[in-house]
Amino acid sequence: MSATDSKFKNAREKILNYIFLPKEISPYEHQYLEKINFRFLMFMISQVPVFMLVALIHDTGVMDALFLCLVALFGPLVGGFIIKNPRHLSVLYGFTAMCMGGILVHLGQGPMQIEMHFYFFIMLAILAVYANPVVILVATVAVALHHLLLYFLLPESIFNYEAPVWVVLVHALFLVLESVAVVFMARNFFDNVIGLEKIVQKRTQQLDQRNQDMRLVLDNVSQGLMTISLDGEISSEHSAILSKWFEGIVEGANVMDVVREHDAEVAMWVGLSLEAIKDDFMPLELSLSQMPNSLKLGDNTLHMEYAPIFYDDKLEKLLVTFTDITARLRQQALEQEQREFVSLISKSYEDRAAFLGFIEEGREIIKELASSDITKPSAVLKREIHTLKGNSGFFGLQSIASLCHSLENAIQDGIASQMRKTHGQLLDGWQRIEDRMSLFLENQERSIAVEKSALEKLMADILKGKARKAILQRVQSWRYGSVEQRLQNFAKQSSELAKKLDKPVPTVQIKCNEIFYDPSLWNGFWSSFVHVVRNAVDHGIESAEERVDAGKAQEGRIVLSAQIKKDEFIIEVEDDGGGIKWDKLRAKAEKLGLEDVETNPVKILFMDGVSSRDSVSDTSGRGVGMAAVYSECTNLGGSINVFSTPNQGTKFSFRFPKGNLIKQSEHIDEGLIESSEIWTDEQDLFFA
Amino acid sequence: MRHTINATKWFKSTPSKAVMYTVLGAWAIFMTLICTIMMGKHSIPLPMPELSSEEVAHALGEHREEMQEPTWMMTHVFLSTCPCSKRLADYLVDKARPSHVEEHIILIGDDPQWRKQATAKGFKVHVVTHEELDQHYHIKAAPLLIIMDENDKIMYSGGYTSRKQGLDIQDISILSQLQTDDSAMHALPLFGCAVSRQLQKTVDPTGLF
Repeated sequence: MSATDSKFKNAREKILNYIFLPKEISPYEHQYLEKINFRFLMFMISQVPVFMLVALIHDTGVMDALFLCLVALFGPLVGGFIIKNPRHLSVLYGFTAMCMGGILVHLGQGPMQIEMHFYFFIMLAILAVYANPVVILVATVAVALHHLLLYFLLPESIFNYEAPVWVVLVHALFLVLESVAVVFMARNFFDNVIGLEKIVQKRTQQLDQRNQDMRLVLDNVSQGLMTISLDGEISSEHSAILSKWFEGIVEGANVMDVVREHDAEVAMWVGLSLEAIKDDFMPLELSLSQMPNSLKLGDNTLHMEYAPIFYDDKLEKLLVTFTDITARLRQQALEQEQREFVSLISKSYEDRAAFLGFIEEGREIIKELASSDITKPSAVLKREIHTLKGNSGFFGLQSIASLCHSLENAIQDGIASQMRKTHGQLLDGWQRIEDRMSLFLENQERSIAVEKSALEKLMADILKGKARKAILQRVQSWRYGSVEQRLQNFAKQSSELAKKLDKPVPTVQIKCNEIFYDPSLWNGFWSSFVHVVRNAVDHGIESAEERVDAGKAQEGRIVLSAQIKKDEFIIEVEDDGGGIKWDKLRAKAEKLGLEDVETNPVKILFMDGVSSRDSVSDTSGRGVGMAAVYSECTNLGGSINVFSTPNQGTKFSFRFPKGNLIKQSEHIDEGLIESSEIWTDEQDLFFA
Repeated sequence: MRHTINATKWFKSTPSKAVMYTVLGAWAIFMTLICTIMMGKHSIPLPMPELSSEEVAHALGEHREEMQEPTWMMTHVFLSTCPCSKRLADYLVDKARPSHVEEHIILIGDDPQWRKQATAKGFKVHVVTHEELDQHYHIKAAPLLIIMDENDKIMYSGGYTSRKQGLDIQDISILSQLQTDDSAMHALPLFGCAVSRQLQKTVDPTGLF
């Protein structure tokens, strides 16, 4: 087939498809055509008296008019009974309309006979209501057929006797032009109105297909997707997994009711947030951000996200997405445990004694917690929780620190269920760490680590023939902790805290000789001492702006010092901050109804529940830390002096009997130690 | 998809329906023919005598009255049952006619009342039959206007109006033009009714109209 043939074939098909409507007749089209056919028949019948009148006026026979009309209407009347296809019937009516036109022209003989021909053109235009080009074409062909037949019957009549050919051509041209125009109108009428139902049907099918596809997606997606109205009403379509998570979820159910079965608090917050969104007194983003984003579903945790759905710029619904993040959380927890494990190992190598002390004290606190009624915590227990939090944070056990903080919050809020829940989580969390590190801890606890240089020095001393007690003291020191190392740890901790609090990292100066302590005696103190350092950073040193305004360097300065002076072991923490705000502290104590407010304000500083802070953060503000320090200090027979000058700084001075650094049972003859030139002159090594 | 219909099988399976469709088909054909005939009857120009027809000129010349000085002669041929003829006949008796012209009316089929009016108006009315018109006057259709000069030469043979049943009846203007120009003019078409039986049979084979 040549290209021309192909084009011709395509053009022919296009024309035929344009003229002949699709075979299927939609119910709407069927109904419409039946209605129009009936009306058109009535219209033609109503013309009979008019035709008779025309005949009367033109003296062409009234009865002839009646007879001719009845003959013409015979077809439509019979056709109405036997033709069931309304399209076919409309074609018959179109043909009849042209016959009626012929009759009218015949009856209207006279000066107006030419004008009677308008009937054909008018009827052709009216036939456009059928929205079927075939009706128009059949009507046109009927008229053309009359002329052609006349030509065959009287070949000489049409073009003879000087009847100009161009008149006939113009006549035909008008008819053709109108037919083309009406065919166009009819087809457009069909495509855009009558056949619209078919188009809608097609679109509906496509939509159904899309819905099926969407249903497939919703049935197989692992996320829970649902849309809710601003009243919380759940729409019909939601992903299948929601039915698994929330049994009995049905269309029209309220999301609050569905969620309430698992977590009443979350349901309450969902309700409150939806109310806030409806009231529209807050920015939508803010309201959405305040909606709960987590829901516990048995052992699983669902993350909830919300997206607004607008119709015509009006918020109508919310898309709620539930994602099961249980596995992710477990993975995160495992990763965190791993990180914490690494951190602990690292800390153990930095300061073995401190590490072991932390573990030992942690065990004690956990043991105490396990045996206590957490819903009625004592002041001591609160201090211990606070201490565990601080030390856990320092040793990188953020999970424990976080649980301690949650427990503190629960205690403060007085929510018993939350207390028990967090308490259980804390015990479990600690146990997991113990389990994980059991081998490592066992190894650490039954061994002593000695630096190579220390061992070499010892060997040298032996070779030099040093006194046995001196050698014993040196070996004994391997079991003890280094105060300097401790202070270095606190220095590091203060830097990390400053970063966390978004303050310039302070300059920390350490002043310390080589002093050792017995971890079994001092762990409690060092654990609580962390609060003093943290207070210096958090409360003592001002913000960068405040410092600059006060004419100070932007970075703060902290001095950590430890020394043996006469018979005292003195530890001092000094900062160049804003000083203690005694008035504020006093006012707080008054508010709490504490005694000795006027007489000894320093005492207030170390009382339980007193803090210069108005709000609680995860580092300070509960008024527990300083009370713990005071408690541990007095346990070791120590005393505390506080020196504070407004805008210049604060100094805490802790004084202990020198002999309390190690246990009495492990004391070596002091005279020998003091007489030993090795310790006094070279090493400045102190023992009680 | 192409569908084929076995007509024989269809007719046998639904006889009553087939009969009805056959009737409907016959009706459609009948209506087509009827419309064609009606159109043919009224829309086509009918034949008229040639200017050179001596037979016609002679037959019409027989109507001339003895006069000292011969004048132009107008002959109107009307069919009493033809609406077009009736309209023109009424026109003749209602309007003023030119002087110094002989006017004759050949009426096929009598209409006494109208004949009386026409006679009173000064027309010479000749009532003839279809056969006489065809055989004696050799005229086959009406309404026809024939104008002859003083020498019985047919100067005009044709219709009265330029279009079918036109309002502008041009008989007097045609006469005036012929009398001043002295040459035959282009004939207007003859729209009307066949008078001769042969022409009637040709135009309306059914004989209904």
